[in-house]
Amino acid sequence: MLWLCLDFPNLSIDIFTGREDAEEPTVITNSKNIIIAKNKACQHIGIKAGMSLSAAYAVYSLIQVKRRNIYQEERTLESIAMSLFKYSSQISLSPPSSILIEIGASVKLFHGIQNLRKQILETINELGVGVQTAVSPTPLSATWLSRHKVNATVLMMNDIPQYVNPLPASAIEFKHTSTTQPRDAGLKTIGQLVRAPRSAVTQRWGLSVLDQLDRVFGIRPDPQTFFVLPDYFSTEISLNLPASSVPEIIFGIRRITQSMANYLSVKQRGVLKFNLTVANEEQDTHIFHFKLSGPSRDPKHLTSLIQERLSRETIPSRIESIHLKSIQEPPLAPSIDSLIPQEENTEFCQAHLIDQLQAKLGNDCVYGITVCADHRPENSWRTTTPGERHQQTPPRNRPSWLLHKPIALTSTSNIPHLRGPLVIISGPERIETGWWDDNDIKRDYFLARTQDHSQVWIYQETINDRWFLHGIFA
Amino acid sequence: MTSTLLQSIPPSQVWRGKEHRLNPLGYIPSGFSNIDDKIHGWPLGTLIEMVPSQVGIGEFSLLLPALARLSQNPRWILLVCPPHIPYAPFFSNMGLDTSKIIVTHAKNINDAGWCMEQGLRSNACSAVIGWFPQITEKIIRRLQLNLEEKKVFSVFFTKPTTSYKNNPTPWRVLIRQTGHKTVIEIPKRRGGGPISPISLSNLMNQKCCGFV
Repeated sequence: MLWLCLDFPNLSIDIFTGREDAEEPTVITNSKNIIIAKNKACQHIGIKAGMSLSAAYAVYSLIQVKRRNIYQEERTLESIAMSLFKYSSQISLSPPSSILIEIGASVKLFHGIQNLRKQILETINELGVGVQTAVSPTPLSATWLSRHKVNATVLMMNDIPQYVNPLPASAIEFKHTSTTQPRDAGLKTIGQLVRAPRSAVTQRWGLSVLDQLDRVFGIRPDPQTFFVLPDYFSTEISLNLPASSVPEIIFGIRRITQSMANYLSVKQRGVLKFNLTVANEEQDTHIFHFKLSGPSRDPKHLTSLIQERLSRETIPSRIESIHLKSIQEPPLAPSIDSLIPQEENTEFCQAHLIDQLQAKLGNDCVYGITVCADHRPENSWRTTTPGERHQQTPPRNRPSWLLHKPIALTSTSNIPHLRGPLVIISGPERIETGWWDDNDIKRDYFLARTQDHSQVWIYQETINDRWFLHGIFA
Repeated sequence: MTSTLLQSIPPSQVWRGKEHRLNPLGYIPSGFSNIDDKIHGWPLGTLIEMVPSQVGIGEFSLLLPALARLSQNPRWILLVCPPHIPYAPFFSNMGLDTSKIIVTHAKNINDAGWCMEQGLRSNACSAVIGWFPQITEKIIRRLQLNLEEKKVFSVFFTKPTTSYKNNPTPWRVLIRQTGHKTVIEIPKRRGGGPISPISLSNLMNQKCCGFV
């Protein structure tokens, strides 16, 4: 077995998704008000991890301070793990900040360790979190190396001591922080700790230290609990600065749709329905329901749909978090890459176009039309979802445009007028009754021509002899 | 002598005024022999501006045989901002598959232009037809840009009152009715010179209205 460990040293700050352009100095503090993470903007002004918050304020009084959110960090680790399933099926989370991937079985498929590592790093970069890696035959040694000797690659079990022995003794996790550290006993490196009498080590620092030492060198087995994909995608991200407009949150939306796309491609599914929830400081939430015309897992398409929809509707101000949850995920076969260039999949494009138009204009403004089995002109057509097919034989002699509402025409001695007297070309065609749904009609329809040669469809109410314009032969 | 000299030069290297350069993306037969004989049908991948002198002279029916043929194709026929209800029984009578039609309504001409652009760019439409009571040169240019190299039948209808400083549409078709004849004038077409007006008789009365 060969383990690749991904360690995210800045996870506690990376979970607060920021806009790339407007980065203000931001720090994360723990419960004792000690700075445990900072963003890049802090480097220039001299704020370092380990400083107390009051010291940092003395350096720069305008820093943004956030409390560490361990729950959110775990969720983020999970969502990163989801996007790694294309590289291996054996992934285990090792909180607080690492993910272990068993790559022994994948090395050949991805043409070597360096190639595989490169591809994994590309995937991680798309998610916008900082990462450092190491490869080793035991999980624990991979974890330690990723934290203390970045990019180390150990292939053989026998080589582990050579890499691990020089690591600082602080790599070991101590259960009791109050006891003296190995450093205080003059044991600065792991190697020195290994050479110390085992009984003495146990006496001072407990069994767990020996246990870790045994696991790191593979003397004792180290079984991992593997991460299992959840049934539905549900992820929340926090923004580092409150956002009030669509361009400000689009960076976060891009990241969240990317991780949904990764999740869906692992499950070979596409999303058909999903909810986007935005919440602001006052926990005032706003839910947007999305329904696509066909399953999709294209992050660009999903992002553009969300963008169009949010620009059309009013969003709450000062948004702090975005939550994306899939509702319906039908199976979607992976795209087949052909060697011969061919036209883009038409069915796919067609669904995309409908989604795009509906996102911008609203669902009611984009529709298909169909013929209905009804003799009344108003009822012999209806709107449908685009692409729906119905077989009906419509009556003959119908105009291309039907008016939304018939227009009353003036008439002199029973000759209707529209830009002058109308000339009747053919008719009458009597269309009547509709008692079953309170839309009873009794009309005589005529095809008529105006003085300037337009052709129109008009009718006369048989009850009161009034004339109406109902259609145009365009 | 002149004829042999001209014959010795490859036709692609010399342009003769009376000849029409064929549209590289092809044509869709209009369904009217008068039109097809003179201009090969409606050009694909070129924006066509249709300017009827008034509504109701069969200006839309002029496109129907071509649209009916395109509806055999699996792709959409996008109607952007039609002025009234596009009446499904009429389309069905004309042999058009109504399940291919999508109707969209936009609030303003910019949104309508956006809809047409999406349709042209998406590879999902075989025809994109728009109605603009007013249109700007900027929208026309954007549409033409999105259309280049796409084999789409794209038409927009405007009113004769629409004024331009400089009309960028590559094809302009004027439609008017005189007596029982519909007259089509093409004052502007890409790659070809002016042609005499084409008159169509019985455009309204016969097959176009579903009268048999």
